[in-house]
This record gives sequence, C-alpha cells and structure tokens, in this order.
Amino acid sequence: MGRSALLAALALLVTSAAGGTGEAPVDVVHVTANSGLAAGGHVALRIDEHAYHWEVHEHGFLVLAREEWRTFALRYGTLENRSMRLVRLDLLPDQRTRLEGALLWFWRAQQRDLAQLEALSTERRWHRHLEGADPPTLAGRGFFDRGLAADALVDPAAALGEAGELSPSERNRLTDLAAALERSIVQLVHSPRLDRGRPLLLALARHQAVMHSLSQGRFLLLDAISDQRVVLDPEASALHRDRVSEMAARMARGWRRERQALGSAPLDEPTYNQLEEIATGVHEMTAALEHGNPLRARPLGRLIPNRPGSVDPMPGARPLEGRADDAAAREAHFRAELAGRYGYDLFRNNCATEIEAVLAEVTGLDAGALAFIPAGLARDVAASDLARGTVDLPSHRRRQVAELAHRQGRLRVALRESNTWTSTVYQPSIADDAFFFFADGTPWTRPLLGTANLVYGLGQATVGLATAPFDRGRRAWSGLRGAFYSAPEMVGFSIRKGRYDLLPEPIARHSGVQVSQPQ
Amino acid sequence: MSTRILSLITAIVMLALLPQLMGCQMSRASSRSFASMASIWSLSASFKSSFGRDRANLDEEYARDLAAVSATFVDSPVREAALVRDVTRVAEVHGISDWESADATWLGIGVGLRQAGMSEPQAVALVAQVFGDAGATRTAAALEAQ
Repeated sequence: MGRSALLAALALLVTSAAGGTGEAPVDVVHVTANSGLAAGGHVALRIDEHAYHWEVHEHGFLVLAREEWRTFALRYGTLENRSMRLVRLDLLPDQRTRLEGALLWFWRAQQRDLAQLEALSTERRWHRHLEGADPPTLAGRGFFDRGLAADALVDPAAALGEAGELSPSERNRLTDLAAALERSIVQLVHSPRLDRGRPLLLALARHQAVMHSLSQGRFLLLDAISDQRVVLDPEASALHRDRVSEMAARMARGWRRERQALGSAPLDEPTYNQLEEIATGVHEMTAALEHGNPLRARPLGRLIPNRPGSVDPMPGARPLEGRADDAAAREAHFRAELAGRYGYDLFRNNCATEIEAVLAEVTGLDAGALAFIPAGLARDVAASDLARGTVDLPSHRRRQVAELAHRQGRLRVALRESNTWTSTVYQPSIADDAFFFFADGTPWTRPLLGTANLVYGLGQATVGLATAPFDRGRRAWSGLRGAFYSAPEMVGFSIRKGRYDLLPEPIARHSGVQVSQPQ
Repeated sequence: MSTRILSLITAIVMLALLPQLMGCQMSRASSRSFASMASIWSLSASFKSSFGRDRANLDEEYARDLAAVSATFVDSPVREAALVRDVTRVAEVHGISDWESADATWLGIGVGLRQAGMSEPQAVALVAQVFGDAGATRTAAALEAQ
C-alpha cells in the first residue's frame, strides 16, 4: 500500500472516530481515600480515553493533568489500591464538545504559563552565569562531548550478560533508520519550527547511537532518563533488593519481548523510542542491583531522551549591570502571579472545586456546599439530572479477592484474605503503615477491626522502640502511623486500604488494564 | 479521668479524620521515596508496546489526540510559538519529537481545525500562518485524501 493510500485509510479512521465522539463516555470519577498522599480521595473527569484531573505539584500549583485513562486507572485503582466510582454523565453532544474544549483550553494555557515561568528562570540563570555562576543547561546538549558522550548510551545486552548480536533483519532496519534520521536532520535544520533545537540534537545523538550499534553489532541506545539529579539513596535500593530484583527481571523480559516483536515493521521514531525506554530500564535496574548504583527516578509517561548539558555560547561576555536582578524580579513576579492563579487551597481551589467549576460553566451543575470534597462532589453529581448512572470499580485487592472467592469458596477466602499476614493477593508496600486487618469491607465490622489494628499498630510501635537503633526507627514510625489510621476505623470510616509497590502480576505481563467498563 | 480519655480519643479521631478533607493527589514525578519510584518504574514496564500493534492504530491515536487539541486552536489569539509548543507537547506523549516528518501530524491538525468549524481553505491558511507552507501543503493533501 502506497503512502497516499495509507494516509487516506488513516484519515478515514480519524474522522470516523472524531465523528462518533458524541457517544464517547464522560464520567466524573471519584477515587476513594487511602493513607498517604491525597488521603481524602481524588476526583477526575474521564472523557473517552483520557482522564483530566488537577494535582498539586511540588511547586505548590494545582496543575491540570491530561493522561490516558488506562494509566490513571493503573495508578489509582491498582498501585494505590483505591476503589473508584464512575458517575456517567448524560450530556448533549454540544455540552460534551464544550466540556472537552474548556479542559483542553485550560490545559494548553496552563502548560504555556509553566513553560513561560521556566523560560524566565532560564533567562535569570543566563544573567547570573555572566556574573560568574554556573551556566544554565540546554536539553540535548548532554549527549555530546567531542562526539557522543561516553555515558550517553546504554547497552542492554551487556547489562543482561548476553551476546545480543543484531540479526540481519535488525541490521537492515537500523540502516534504514540511520537514513531516515539523516533526512530528518536536514529537514530540521531548515525547519521553520521555533523549537527545533531539541529534536535536532536528539536526531543527531540518535544517529550516532545507530551508527555505534551497526559498527558494534548490538543495540546501543540513548539513555532516556534526562534528569540525573533525582536519585534514590543506594542504601534504600539495598534495603529493598527484592523489589529491585523483581523489576530487573521484568525489564529483562520486556526487552526480550520487544526485540522479538520487532518483526518486519519499519523502525520509526515511536518504535525506536520504545526500545530506548525499555533498554534504559534494563540498564537502570541492573546497575542498581549489581553495582549498587543509585536508582534514578523516571517521570510518568513516555521518556524522550533529552539529557541536558551546560553550554556557554558567550565565553568572555561581561555581565549586563542590573539585568540579573531584573530577570530575577520578573521571574518572582510571574511566579507570584501564577500562585494567585493556580495556587492550591484546601477549601476553595482543589481538584474538586476545579471540576465543579467547569461542570457548572458547561452544564449548569448546581453543586452543594460540600462539593469541595471529592466525595461530596461525586455525590452531588450523582444526584443531579446530569447523571445517567454509576459504576463501581473495586480496588485491585478487592477485585482479586472477589475472583478468588468465586473459585475457592467465599468463607475460606474471606478469612485468609482478611489480614496482611495470610493474604495471598496483597504484598505489603514499603510505604504502608503497620496494620493487620483490612477494614474496607462491611462497615459494621470496622470498629472491631479498627480496634485490633490500633492495638497492632501500638504494639509495633513499642517493639519499634527496641529495634530503633537498627532500623532508624522505621518500625516505630510505621506502628504509630498504623495506630493513627486505625482511629477512623474505630468510628466506622475506612481510609487505609494498603497499596502496591510494583504493578502486580499478571497485569504487568499484559498490555492492557483490565477494568470493567460502564454500560 | 474518663472525660480526659474521651477527649483524647476524640482528638485522635478528629486528627485522623482531617485527611478526609484533603483531596487531590500530589504529583509523584519528583518523589524520592523508594515506593513512589518503584511504582512508576513498574508502571512504565507495563506501558503498551509499540510493537505487535497495528502501526495505523498508533498513528490514529496520535492523530485523534492532536485533532482534539488542535480544535481549540481556532479560538486562540494566534501565537505561532505557543501553538507549535502545543503540538510538540502532544507529539512527545506519543514518542515523537520530529513531528513535522509524520503524516499523522498534519492530518490530526487538519481534522481538528475542520471539527472546530473551519473550512478546508481556512484550515490550510491557518496551518500556513503557524507552521509554514510545507505543513500547509501536507495538511491540504491529508484533508483531500479523506
């Protein structure tokens, strides 16, 4: 099939899908409470394949996140082990379009504002650099140091102790990719695109990586982690070696699977980027496990390699008097402006109030006084004329327990899975506080289970006093937190549900999240 | 004595209930805790693979995503740099940095502008203004292929 025929087929797919968006689901998603972050729960809007939700970022701004619904469901429903209630909205096609448009408009505007803040910060750093401070960094510059930097590449085969020799088919694909990158480099040099610098540096670095792969006969890929600063204490990696080991095994399986699946498809940019991501994961886990290297953090979503590096394009330039202070003042002023626009406030400006505001604007929703609480907003929406029905998505643990009960018998499974010691579907998270019983089941049992959890938590805290010299007080602190979260259970509220450090198998082996869809 | 114990229990319960009011997940993008880092790494390992999936499906997802965002370009006061960065942001979510080379980019933008009520010539003119003539030509070709 020729390129124009492919484009025509794609056009048909895109337009037919777009034409059917009036039928796509729109839900208000209430995520229940759990201990830890967002203990009071969370709320999001799901529109078709995307979740829109406001999160508090580290700089204190309330930021609208737009992510795949599947990723959202895995984060909250599985890793955070929180149940979700979806209130499906009955919207007119025009309302749906306006709702998504309003969210996308806000998302674009806010991302632009945050980019502007970053630009002002860079400007200030340039001026400070002229006064003698370290130069600012440029995305993509870190790959080069008289050619490709020695540590810019990861070698998954070496990390796994395999020969990893390129097959003839892989060689052909890499050769084609090198030619495509050369064309891309030429086009980017002449591109009118104002932000072409970063993709240009990336294409140059990738070209070098491909040429190294061809000359050495095995895959060598760019290290996809950009921020080298956020690292985990090696002691923590050593302490949780079992988890790192499990992750290393998963990454290794993933790498082999991806390589096997290469097939005969052309190696285009998204496909090659996928290889970079998984190869970086293999390298990261193996280096932590075998050499005790600090584990680097990775952000959510795709990793596009853009390692920053220092650059000094004006060697010997003199500082412009007062400009650095002016730049700093502009940055501070804009930051304050953004704090006024996007600052988090427990009662007036949070994830629930923002969703309430956009729904009120588009649909005329009249929510009650408690709509600033995620549960309150979900309740009000469910009771309004907008609601077409609700669907409950149990947390990962509850889903697993229900499935086991169906196969192995209700009483046996209920008893075994009621507590953290004998449960087979729950592996305590490192971040969990100490508790014995899961109290997120039948409400009337909570006071009894909560009391037992309180005693258990206090007991752990007491034992922790004795073990504090050896574990830096971890057990004692975990016990105290456990006792703390038992108190609401004693009066019938369940906050704590336990959570997972790693995506439980077999979900991690499959490509799709298995959550039931509302009808 | 019993009043004091009751007060203490009430205080503990109130303190424990306070988080009920505190919603909204904190971003874990820069978290240094092992649990946060491990969960994000394990989540990434399960991300859908590009392989084994129909190439057209991936292109379609990208084009649809871009169409949704591009539909909001119509009401924007045209600021070329800002719109270009918007496209970059969406493309990177799909693993694409050189989005000018991808046919799906121009199709997505064209379809988005059409969805927003622009005629084909209007859409092509806006693309030419923001992204240059080469982009406009490819958008026109993509829309004509429909």
